[in-house]
This record gives sequence, C-alpha cells and structure tokens, in this order.
Amino acid sequence: MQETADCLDRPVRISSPRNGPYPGRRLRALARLVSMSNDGSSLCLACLPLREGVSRMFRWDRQAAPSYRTVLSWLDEQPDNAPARIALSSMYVYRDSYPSPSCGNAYLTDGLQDLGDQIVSDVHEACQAFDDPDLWFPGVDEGIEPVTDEHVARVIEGMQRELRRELRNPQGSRNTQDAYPAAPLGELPWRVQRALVERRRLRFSQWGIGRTHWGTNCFSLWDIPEDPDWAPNHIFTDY
Amino acid sequence: MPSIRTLPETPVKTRPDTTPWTDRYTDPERICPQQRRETSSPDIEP
Repeated sequence: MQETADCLDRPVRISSPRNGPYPGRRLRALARLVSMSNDGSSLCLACLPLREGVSRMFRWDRQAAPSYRTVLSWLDEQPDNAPARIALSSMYVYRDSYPSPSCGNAYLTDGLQDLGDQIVSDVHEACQAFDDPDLWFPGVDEGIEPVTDEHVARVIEGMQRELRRELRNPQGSRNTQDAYPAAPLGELPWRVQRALVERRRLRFSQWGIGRTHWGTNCFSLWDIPEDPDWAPNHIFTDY
Repeated sequence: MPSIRTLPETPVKTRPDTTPWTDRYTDPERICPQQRRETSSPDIEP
C-alpha cells in the first residue's frame, strides 16, 4: 500500500512515511530523516546519517503538529549555526556497514533512499538486455566527467557484490534454497555496463553529491536540489 | 452477402522460447530498501 501524493502535507509521524508518489526531492529526503517523538513534543532526526556529537532532538513548542513541509520551512529559516542546521548540513553520505561488518556492506544513509532506488531502477532497466541484446539503454554524454573502463569494471563488480547478497524466489521470499541467482551484470553488453555506470554518476549528481562530497563523506540536506515537482518514476514496495 | 476478405499473409516471427530474465534472476527491484541503498555501492566513488 502506498502513501498518498499529499503525504508530506500531513503531520510528521513517529515513523517514516512509506514509499509513495509525493513530490519534492529535498522534501522526500527530509521525510526519511525526521519523525515525531511519542509524546509529540519533539522532532527527532534519524541517528545513522548524523555525525557524532550533533543534536538529534528538537523541541516543537507549537500546538499543532507540523507537516513535513512545515518542518522544512522551519529549517530553512534557521541560522547556519543552529543545532538543527548543523546536524542536517554535515551528514554522512554512506556508512560502512549495518549494523556490523558481518551483516552488510557500505550503504547510503537514510535520506538518500530515493537515490538508491533510482540506481536500482537503472539496474533493472539495464537487465532487460538479457532478453534483448539490442536494448536501447543510453548512457550520459554531458553533465558528468567521463567514466573510464577501469571505473566501469569496479562499479559493476561492486554492484554485483551487492546483488548476490539478497536473492528472492518466485514467491518473493528472501535467500531461500530455490531463490533465483543474482543477475550477472558482467554478462551485459559492455555498452550497457558503461551506460549503467554513467547513469550512476549522474544520479549521485542529481542528489547534489559530487566528488568532494563523496571524498569527505559529508553532504548537506541543502545540497539536494529542492525540485518541488520531482517524484520517482517507479514506486517501490517496502518489504 | 459480403465477401470474406482474405487476410494477407504476413511472416510471423517465431520467438525462441526464452524465459524472461525476471524468471531467471532475482529482480533488483524486489530487494529490501536497505539492500537497495547498498546496491549503489557507495564505497566506490560515483
């Protein structure tokens, strides 16, 4: 079941909204990060994207519970040195493992769920080349630094590593004995592999994350373009 | 009584009996949200 398109105009909830067609690239990211305390007195920020030592609880003294849109407006009005601005202006792009090295690999932090979803959508689209080797799957000619062949190989290897970690059977159950194997990205036509990696670089830039942000592993909510009308083309079901 | 049109014969391309890839491999769109964030392999520079 999906959220409605006006979900982010409704009061902030105790848990994040489910996926849905509600628009706003930056606003959607905020919705993944903010929640309301059980007693309705404080706004809470998801802890994993935040650097150590920054505040993650902020009192909300107004009588009416805010909508996500109201919270973003409130944050926009805060001075740069306000605790809430500091917390959301220096978030991790990724964390190394969750919750321990044995359970997972590096992952994008919570506010970048849409970025992860978009990259996976590109992978899904690329995989259609398994059925149609002549699939039209364009890469990115402008707006990004060209990717090298070595970089294509590294990224494909990294994605393959992740695809092997969660396999589903025809009924959708996870990692069962009858689960389908991971899609072998290395068997896609080279042009499709290259286009996929180019798209990945583009997607990061569409969320305001470039080489510097990745290198410092630090980004701001305000690096993400506002894009008030943007909503993902594909809405995932959160299993 | 109207004549029965003879439909032109058009060559039918017989497709091989190929199983769609989503019936052979795990579709990345079916994995959990956490794993979707891992699939971007953020430990590798964009």
